[in-house]
Amino acid sequence: METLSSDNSVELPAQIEVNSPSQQTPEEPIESGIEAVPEGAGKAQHSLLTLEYYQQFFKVDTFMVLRRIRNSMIPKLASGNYLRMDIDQNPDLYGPFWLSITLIFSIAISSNIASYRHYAGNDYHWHYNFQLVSNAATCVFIYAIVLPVVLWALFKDSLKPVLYEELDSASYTPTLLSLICIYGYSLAIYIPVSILCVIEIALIQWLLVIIAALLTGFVLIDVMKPALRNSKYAIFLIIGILSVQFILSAGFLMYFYQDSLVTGTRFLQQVPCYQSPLKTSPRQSLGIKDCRSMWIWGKHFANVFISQTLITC
Amino acid sequence: MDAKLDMFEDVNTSPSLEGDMSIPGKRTTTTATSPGGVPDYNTLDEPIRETVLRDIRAVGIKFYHVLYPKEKSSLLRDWDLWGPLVLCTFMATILQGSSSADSMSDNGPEFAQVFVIVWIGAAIVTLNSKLLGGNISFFQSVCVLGYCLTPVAISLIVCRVILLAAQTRLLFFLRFVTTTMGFAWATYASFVFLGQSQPPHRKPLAVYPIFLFFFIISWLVLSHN
Repeated sequence: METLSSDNSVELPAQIEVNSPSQQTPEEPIESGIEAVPEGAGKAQHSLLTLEYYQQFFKVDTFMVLRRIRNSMIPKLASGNYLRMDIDQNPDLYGPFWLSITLIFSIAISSNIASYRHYAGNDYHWHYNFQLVSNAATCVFIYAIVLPVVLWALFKDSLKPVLYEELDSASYTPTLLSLICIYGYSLAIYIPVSILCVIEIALIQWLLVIIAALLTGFVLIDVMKPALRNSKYAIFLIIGILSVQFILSAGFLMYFYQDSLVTGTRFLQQVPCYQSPLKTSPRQSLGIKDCRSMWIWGKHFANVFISQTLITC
Repeated sequence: MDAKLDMFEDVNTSPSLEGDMSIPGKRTTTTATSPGGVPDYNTLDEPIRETVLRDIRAVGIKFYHVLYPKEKSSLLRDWDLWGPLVLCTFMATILQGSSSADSMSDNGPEFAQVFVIVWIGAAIVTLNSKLLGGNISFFQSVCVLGYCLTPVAISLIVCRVILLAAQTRLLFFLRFVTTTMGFAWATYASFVFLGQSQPPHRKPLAVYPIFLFFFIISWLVLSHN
């Protein structure tokens, strides 16, 4: 449908041809009105197979994306109504998708750098391990998609019964897209962490990972507070969210940076030591000792932070 | 009184009903065309060699325009996917894990992995650009992204030549510099072609995936040994 180009039709052949099915940027006014869609009713108008349907999830500009990333890294920076007023009104898929892709490749690249530096001094002929990209992709997409789905189902399932005289906010559960959006943006902090984890000092690596898990855990709980208040299992959900963050961070450090953890381990003695760097397959799966140490640390931190959040909530 | 009705034939007036039904993306050449973009001659009777040579010349002109990105219209108006296919196949062949000398398997990317990364990556970047409201067609964008792999392919050739010698830190640094230059050149070229198709408040959002795409491919080039 021609909206703005109707006066240019004579000159078309000599120009650069643009073949776009009536796309409009948000700042262009909608002039001709056959398919003009009023602003608020955009979601119901297009079928699932058209490009326009998915464009509604990309209605962001640079400033908004940067602001959402900043809100996901620093707890309490967003307003109390962030989830309902900002994310629910305009959930976007640009941030979660591109942050996930960036994270996958930054993990794969940093992991390869870390293992290269570990083996660089020896006679070991180091090879680039491309399998890491697939593994990183699996982990990140499970976190970014499966976790919001589970959380969404739990929120819906555990809604407290609402008396009719209570406020509208008492029956609020976040939409699936909002949860995907929040979890996607919360990956932002892991990108610099994954790059910095090539530093081969175990103390710094663990510190970075723990700080990242803390910050994202706090941010997630803070942003989801309106929904957590309406849930019967609020305490368990809080514990669950925090522990998933810690498991994810610790697991990601211990799997992808195994080799550099060995060199710098003064801090955690239970990491299994390698027999010889000339082994053909240096990757080992996590052993029982690692799981036990992770459990102990996880319990300790979870205790501290549950008490903190109970005070603030 | 004579009422004369003058009926004039439209012989030489400017064509109001004439025009060009040039379908977007139709392959035309930049030589020997009328202003309408349609070849003057009948292509059915010419020898095959001329047809092939004409297409090869068109592809060659596009390579030249990528390396010296001053004129935009040839890649955008006469897009084709031959150049990207040749480049992608060439790079995937060189980059595939040549681990036959050792006992390790699956260390470098496989041929299929590089192929998928280039094509699916270009498709995803294009889709992102369209979803953000860009006014460029799908194949034009894939064509531009594919042709802009030319500097990266050149840096791959140079790195391969450097790898023939015994490796030292200096040679690694040389490879790093070459790869970085190829990456910067590719990003700049694609920005010249694609940068105008987005509204300014979303331009960084559309440029970042292009940057990421070339970064990943340059990383594959650099880590190949």
